[in-house]
Amino acid sequence: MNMNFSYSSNLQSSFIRPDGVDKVTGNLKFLTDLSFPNMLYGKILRSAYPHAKIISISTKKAEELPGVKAVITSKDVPGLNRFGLIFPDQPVLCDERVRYVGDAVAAVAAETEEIAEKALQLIEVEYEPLPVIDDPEKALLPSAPRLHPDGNILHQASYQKGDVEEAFRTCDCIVEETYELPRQMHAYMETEGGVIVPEKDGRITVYVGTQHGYKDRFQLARILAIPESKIRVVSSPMGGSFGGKDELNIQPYGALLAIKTGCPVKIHQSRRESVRSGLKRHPMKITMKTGANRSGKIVAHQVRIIADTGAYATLGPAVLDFAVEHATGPYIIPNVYVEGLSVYTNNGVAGEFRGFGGNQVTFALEGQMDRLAVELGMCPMELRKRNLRKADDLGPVGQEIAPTDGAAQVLKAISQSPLLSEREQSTNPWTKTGVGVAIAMHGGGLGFGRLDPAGGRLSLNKDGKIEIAFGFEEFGQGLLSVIERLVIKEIGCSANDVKITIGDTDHVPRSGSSTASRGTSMVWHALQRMKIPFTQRLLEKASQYTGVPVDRLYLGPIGIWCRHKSDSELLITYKQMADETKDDPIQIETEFHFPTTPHSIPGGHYLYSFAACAAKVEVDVLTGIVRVKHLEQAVAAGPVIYPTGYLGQIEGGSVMALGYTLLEEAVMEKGKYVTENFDSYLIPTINDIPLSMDITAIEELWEGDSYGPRGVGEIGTVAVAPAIAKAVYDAIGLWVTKLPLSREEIVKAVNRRELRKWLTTK
Amino acid sequence: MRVLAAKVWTPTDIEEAWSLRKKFHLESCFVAGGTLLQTQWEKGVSYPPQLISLEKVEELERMNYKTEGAKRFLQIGSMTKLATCRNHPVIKEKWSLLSTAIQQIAAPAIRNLGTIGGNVVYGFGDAIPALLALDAEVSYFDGKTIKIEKLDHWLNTRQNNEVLLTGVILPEYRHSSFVTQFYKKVGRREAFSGSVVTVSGVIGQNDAGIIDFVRLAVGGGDNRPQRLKETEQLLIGQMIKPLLLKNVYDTILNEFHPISDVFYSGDYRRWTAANIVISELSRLEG
Repeated sequence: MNMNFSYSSNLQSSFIRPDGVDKVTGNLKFLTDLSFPNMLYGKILRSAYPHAKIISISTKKAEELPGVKAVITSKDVPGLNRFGLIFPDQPVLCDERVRYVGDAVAAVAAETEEIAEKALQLIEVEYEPLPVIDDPEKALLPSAPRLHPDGNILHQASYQKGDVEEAFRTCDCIVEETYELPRQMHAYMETEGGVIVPEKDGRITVYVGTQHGYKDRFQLARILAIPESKIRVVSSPMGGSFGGKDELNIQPYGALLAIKTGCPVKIHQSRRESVRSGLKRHPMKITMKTGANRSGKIVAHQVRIIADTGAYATLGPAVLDFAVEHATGPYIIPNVYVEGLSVYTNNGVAGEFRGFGGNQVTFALEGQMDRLAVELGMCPMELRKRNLRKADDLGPVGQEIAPTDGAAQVLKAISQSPLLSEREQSTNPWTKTGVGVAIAMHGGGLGFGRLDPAGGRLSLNKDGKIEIAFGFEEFGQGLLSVIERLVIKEIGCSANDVKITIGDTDHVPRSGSSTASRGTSMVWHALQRMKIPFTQRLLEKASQYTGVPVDRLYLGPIGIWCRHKSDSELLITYKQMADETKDDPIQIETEFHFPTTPHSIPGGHYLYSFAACAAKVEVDVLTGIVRVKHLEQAVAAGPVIYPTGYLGQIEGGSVMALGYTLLEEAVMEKGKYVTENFDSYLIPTINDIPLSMDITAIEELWEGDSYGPRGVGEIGTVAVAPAIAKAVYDAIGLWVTKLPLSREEIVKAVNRRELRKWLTTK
Repeated sequence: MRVLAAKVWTPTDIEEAWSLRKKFHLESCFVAGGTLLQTQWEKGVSYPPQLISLEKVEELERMNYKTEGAKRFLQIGSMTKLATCRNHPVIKEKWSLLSTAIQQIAAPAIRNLGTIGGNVVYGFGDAIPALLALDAEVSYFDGKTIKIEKLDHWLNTRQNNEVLLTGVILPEYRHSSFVTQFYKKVGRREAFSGSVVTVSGVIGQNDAGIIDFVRLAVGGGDNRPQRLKETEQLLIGQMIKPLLLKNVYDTILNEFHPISDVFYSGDYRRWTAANIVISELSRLEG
């Protein structure tokens, strides 16, 4: 195997991440690894139907099974029997009706997992099946049954500028296409789970991974009808999330069972249970009509998005808003009309997923750019350049944004890719190679009008460590390294002096959710606010204690140093300072809001990152197999904090997107999953990914930009699919409109043209 | 997690295994490597209450390279692990097609557990198209004696006859001036995935470039592996020419009627099988 990875120089240094050794040695305990004395095992009974009325539930036989300690149904929910991040519409335990196969009907706690499993089979639920809405377009028909009191439309969003109808009349060239994007699964290694422990003081501790401990606490308090202060949520580390664990999953059942039995209850979903109940990426059908004049200036762009949000809301409205906002991406188009519908169906619940609606709409938008370029006979890079935003242009929905030249930066960087100039002729007559490029723009944070608070706490703790605490979670992205690197850089201490506290509502301040590429950005912002007061207080105290004037002191490794003419010396250690200040500990807290646009556009973003991706593919025309041979990404997201983590996000994001493009689809038929496990839902193996990737990080921000590093959790996933699709067109002349890419379509197209031709003429 | 309520028997010879099977009949099944049962278990299919493991039957794990009269062949015990077959020096040298095929079955850990016999008895195993192309035979115990017959024949006729597969036999042929062979498995991804369509073939040409023997086999998905006999008939005694290739293409489409599943249509499998055969034959063009 020839492996060839190259990185820009700012990505080449590496540091050992604080959680690295424990992770690679298997020493690290995830929350699903925890055990407690007298611990019971919980199991959740999910609906037998995608849509049905519940006539009756009898738990008697299950309760009588030896070893069963509790069986709960909707009657056992003391508070609000609903949950949901934006508005609570999903029943914790269904009472009258089930709307998808993951709906919970009952749950059991038993002495062993086997007994709990058996007890589930003894719960008798009588259903009356109802017609299944398995397609959002069917859900919109007047004759469709209503899945929720307000009908089947969860959310509508639109954006309009100029007059598209009028503008299309002036276009020299118009392309119109409908793109279909699949239901992708997050496929985190650690499935949903953890332990909920009733404590002696009447509180409960929820040891379950999530992306936002405080939000879980809020939702659980509402369900359990107890004050939030009675709940402690311990939520890190997690074996992956990618958006999939932002919403509640097993927490309510574990908590209800733990309270009912007075025992710790462990629930850890199997992969099948996870597939059945877990969130997925929104399948979307996107129709775009885009018109340009002969010179390649795009004058009109019309977009219609239909998203299949499944049975309940969760973050569905926000995902649709994001897709609508990003429908013009980094291009300035004078006449735009975008309309989006997020529609309830009886398919699995779709919600938050890395990229957040941007992946779907960017696939369509970049597809339009490439089709237009071909129609106009123009270089696709040139077409993009002619329509690209300038640094001080307004954002994609007309809102004021932090000026950024990221779009031009990434386009320029990718234009220099050797992939674009080399033209390799395959020696195998049955393979064709092709190259494609796409770019993407991605908003960070939750956007205008959404509560998006952040904050942190910096203190000198009693052990003499500089303790920094955030309400963010570690789920593999490298958050701890980011925090460590930033503290070292901003404070001046060494890694050994730092203690990081995260993922525990009893010990961390509110920082908002670890989502929307905001973690790194918010850690940086918090430190900018805290470093000066913290340093000042520490130096003042040190000065008082040592008698050395503040202006000669600075924070360094181990402690506070004194500057002399030619050298410096360690004056007092952090430990000594902690002892000296134990009656008046030094602690700085900050609270602030994620920077937003001043324009009142719901969900409109203010800070954006950019990526450009070049892909080289090899298409096997005999089988339709597409192999990605090389991927290159240029990313503009501000300063790099932790190079290894940055690379991990872009490379990992590329592979996840490659899976989305070539393999992954959670197939449903009549509301039931066909792909119930990893033997049929296929994610890429090492043999499916390119052994050659180049990553460039562009750090330079627009002059005067004071917003620091943007997160890169999502941006690496967005431009990959359209780049691969274009590469396939380049190789065999087939425009791909549907993901995952169909080998069947390729074989059909090639057979019709080349193979037949070859067979008859040679 | 579910509980295994079944009892596991570990007979040490074929007769004992057979009598356990007779005793429990439908309440039982033989277990070779257990890798297929494991995937069914994961899908919620329950095991029969009596499992008869063959792992202690030593005679089923032997390999013999033998000559009997003019016939030279390799006997592979049915309980031989797939990984062992794949790496066996004689197989690598004389029947490399089988090695190639096994390399594409599942993943290394599964090849260390799974057996050649299990792969064949399953009826859809990825080794079968290669074995058909190699004109393999099988040996089985029918309750009285060990019998030997062509794999191709056995696969097509075994429906209700309960037997215990004891081995796979690879005959060694020496003819033709030039022999080419191929095995192509198209999975849903590059590794660790079931076959969508698998095509294997062994083709011999004489000095004049005329095909003097040919065996082609296809399988994949829920399709029983089969020989492409009409296509073989068409090819025998011929030289590769464009018109012949076109006829071959059409003949394959006529004689291979794979079924569809949610991921791939029968048509895709037919076209792909025909494309692969054509591409391999075109290499032999004079």
